[in-house]
Amino acid sequence: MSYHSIKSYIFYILISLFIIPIGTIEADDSEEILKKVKEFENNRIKVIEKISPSVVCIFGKNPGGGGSGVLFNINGYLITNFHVVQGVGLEGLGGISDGKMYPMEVLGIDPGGDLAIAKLSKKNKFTSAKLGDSNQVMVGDLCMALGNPFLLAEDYTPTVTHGVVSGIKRYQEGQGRLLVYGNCIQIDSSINPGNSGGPLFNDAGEVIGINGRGSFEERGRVNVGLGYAISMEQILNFIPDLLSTKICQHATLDAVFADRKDGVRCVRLNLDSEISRLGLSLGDTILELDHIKINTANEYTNLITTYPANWPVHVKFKTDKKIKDVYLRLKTLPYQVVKRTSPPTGKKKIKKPANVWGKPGIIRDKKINSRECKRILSDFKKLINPEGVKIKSLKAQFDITFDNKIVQEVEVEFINIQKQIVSIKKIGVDKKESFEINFIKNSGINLEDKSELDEDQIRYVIDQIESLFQYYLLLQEPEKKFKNFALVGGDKANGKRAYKLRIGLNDKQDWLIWINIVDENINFIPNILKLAATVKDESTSYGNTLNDFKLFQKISFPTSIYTVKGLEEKVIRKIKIKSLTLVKE
Amino acid sequence: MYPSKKIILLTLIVFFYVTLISHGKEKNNLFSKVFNESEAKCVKVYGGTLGTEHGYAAGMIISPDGHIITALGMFLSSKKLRVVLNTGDVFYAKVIRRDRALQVALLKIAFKTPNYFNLKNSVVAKPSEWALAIGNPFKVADGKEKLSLNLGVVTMITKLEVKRRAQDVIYNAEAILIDSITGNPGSQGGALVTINGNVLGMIGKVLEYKGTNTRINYAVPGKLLQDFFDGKIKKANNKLTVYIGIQLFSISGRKAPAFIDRVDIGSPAFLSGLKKDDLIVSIGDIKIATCLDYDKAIKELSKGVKVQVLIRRKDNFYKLSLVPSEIKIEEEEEDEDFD
Repeated sequence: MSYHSIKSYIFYILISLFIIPIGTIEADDSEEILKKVKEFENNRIKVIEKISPSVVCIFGKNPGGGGSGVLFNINGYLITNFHVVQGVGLEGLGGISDGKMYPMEVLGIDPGGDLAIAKLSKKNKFTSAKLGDSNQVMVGDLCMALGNPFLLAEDYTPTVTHGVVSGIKRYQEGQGRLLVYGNCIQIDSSINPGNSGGPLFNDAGEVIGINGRGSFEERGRVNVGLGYAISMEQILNFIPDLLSTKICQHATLDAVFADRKDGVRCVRLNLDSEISRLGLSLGDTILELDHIKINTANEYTNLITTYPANWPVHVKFKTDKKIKDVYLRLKTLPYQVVKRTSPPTGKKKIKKPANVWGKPGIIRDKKINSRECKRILSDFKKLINPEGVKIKSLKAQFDITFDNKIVQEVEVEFINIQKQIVSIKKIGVDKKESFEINFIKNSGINLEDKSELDEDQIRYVIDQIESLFQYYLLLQEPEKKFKNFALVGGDKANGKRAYKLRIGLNDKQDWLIWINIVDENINFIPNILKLAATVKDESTSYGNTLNDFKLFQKISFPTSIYTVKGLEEKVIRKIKIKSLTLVKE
Repeated sequence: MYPSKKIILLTLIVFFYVTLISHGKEKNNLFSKVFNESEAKCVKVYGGTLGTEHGYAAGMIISPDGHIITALGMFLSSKKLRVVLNTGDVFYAKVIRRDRALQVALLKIAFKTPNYFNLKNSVVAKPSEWALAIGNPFKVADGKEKLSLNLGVVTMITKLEVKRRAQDVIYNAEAILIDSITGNPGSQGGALVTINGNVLGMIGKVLEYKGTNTRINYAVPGKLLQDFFDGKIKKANNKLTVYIGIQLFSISGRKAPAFIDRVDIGSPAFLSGLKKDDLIVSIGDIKIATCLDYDKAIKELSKGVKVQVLIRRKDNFYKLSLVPSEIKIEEEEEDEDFD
């Protein structure tokens, strides 16, 4: 082929490259566009039809209080604003789009971040909304606020106001430390009285926030084009505390930062604080909070307001000499005792009940708390073992890894779970020996024969194997086997947000169990992240994280167990399951 | 045919690569590109606060030399007028020009940029088209935080009689009315752009429509802004061309009877014998029942032409002749007490 023909080839190919896109643009005539718009509209209508039944219209038993809410669980759990339930009290009513009212009980409240969780009852299965990822929200995204403003619908079908996201990462001051909206989503959808507590959906029909307020400054409490929604990111942080029937508290680092020319520097610091003890001093520059880069002081304030008290965080800061990474639990930001406000209509004077909400940070209702703990465990059980298979015994082969080196192979057999006997067999290179470990009345593992084995190694192995055993026990019938169920609150484990549960093996010994709130796709798929014994000092305590879940005979089991240390969760040892055999009953 | 195969393969790879790039782009929505581009050409303006007047606004960069257009307001009278760019950089601005007819002001900062709104390329707004309003209502955004976006539809282009609280505001130009709410402090001076990023106009200041007493959401058309920038808008745009020198007692509302509250000493009204507490009954042939009628009637007068004014003083009627003079042209820099 001659040079010219190659040239012409290239020419034609280039031309074709140009023609193809032009052709597609020309095909987009007005009819085509109209068709697309109609398709878009139809999709939106379908989405609204799907999400409407999850929106709740909240009423107080006395006139005055009320607002909107959104169901996030088929058992009737709903999220709303604190200022909605503030006027309602502990018991109210929730109307949904089937036209009926259901009794509602308030579980926990968060006056600082204006959130509350309540539960509707007397219906088997409610329609719940899918939660979305508010980190993905961008300015200009289409969004819909659903709720019952001005109590327009007497059959409780929600009103839809459509708009766009006007701004993200906004900060709205509250009344002192109450009702602060940090890192919130600003929208131009109409927000009116009664929209409070209602959900903000993205165009896919996922809840990305809870509409709570607007810039009502000059023209009274009607839509002014600026509404603010609490981000789902913040809500997820508070769900466990809210379910545990606490008055949630917010967090503080005990340090104040301000923008300076060369970074965000610490300008005020409580010298008795944890962060000061860990090396932060005045004038130091903060670089990251919880692995999120801090560019301005506003960003820092925005983030810190979205964390509950005692939340574990990572802080990266720069001192004169070096960059430091520290892990700590945030302290509690105290606020005044919450009082029930009398309804605004108030012609008749309604007797103010005594403080119904309890004390900040303390579990108000232990009965509900224990019920929630059991529900989370049973949700977990249902998911991991949907068919309710009863397992008679379990046999597993492990590799034990220290410093990324396999040092030992171990075979473990849990025989007869009812009697709780475990046998552990060490597979050495040249010698084979077996020893038996007994669980005596749930008091832990006792080693009967510890001949010829490194005692430390056995203890480590047992510790990790115990986690697998605990996992296995939780799959059986936890309600019957354990006692003192408690939902401690929210925490992080294995790098994820989690419910922290405490259950009693017996009167003396408690376990801590961390179960994740949502998975990566914000679905409520509970799974055990971490197990540990209760300890006083967390910074040096050990726990075992469960990883790499795989299905064994339709039951999901972890195949790697890491022993981690402290809040940092630094991996100390790993054991990897090579094979697992379940014997069904 | 060896080379052609090679070329085909090459084009396939290029195609594959191009599609990969176009799919691998960041998540975008319908408006984010235009918003981000336009937002970068907008600024936050902070000035003085007086009483209930808010001391902040938004502005549009309209030249490569740092010209910024914003809405007229009390905040401009501040000694230090602070302009914050989208990057967070702070500049101090000088007011170059003001215009009451459009209620706009021109500022300048010492900043050169290739990234500005070219008003010459502004498009005429068409009712029913989408309009993106970018401003800083309630100064929600600070420093390098992004301004707020409100999405609306152009509803109509019209002239309106407007006021701010109890005072009339002269805005004689055409306004682009939109259905999203921009009548908030801080929105004024922001940009109104089409879905393609073309300039439609500048969001106007907080004003109320006289007919309904409600705030209007409007923008000043880009063409007029360009005229203002070019210095083509003259004071003559202001319809009030004559000076009489009285102030009516209009606090109880615009439909109140036209009682005189104050007469400027030495003014045409003073010379004709008008006094405080006189009730104006008619001007020329026009019957004056309310303050509103008076406002309309004086617009019809011309300077130096004698007109008969019928007034009622206590129980008597008097007919006085009045010669309106030319309106006092106030110095531009002192033109601050109009808000």
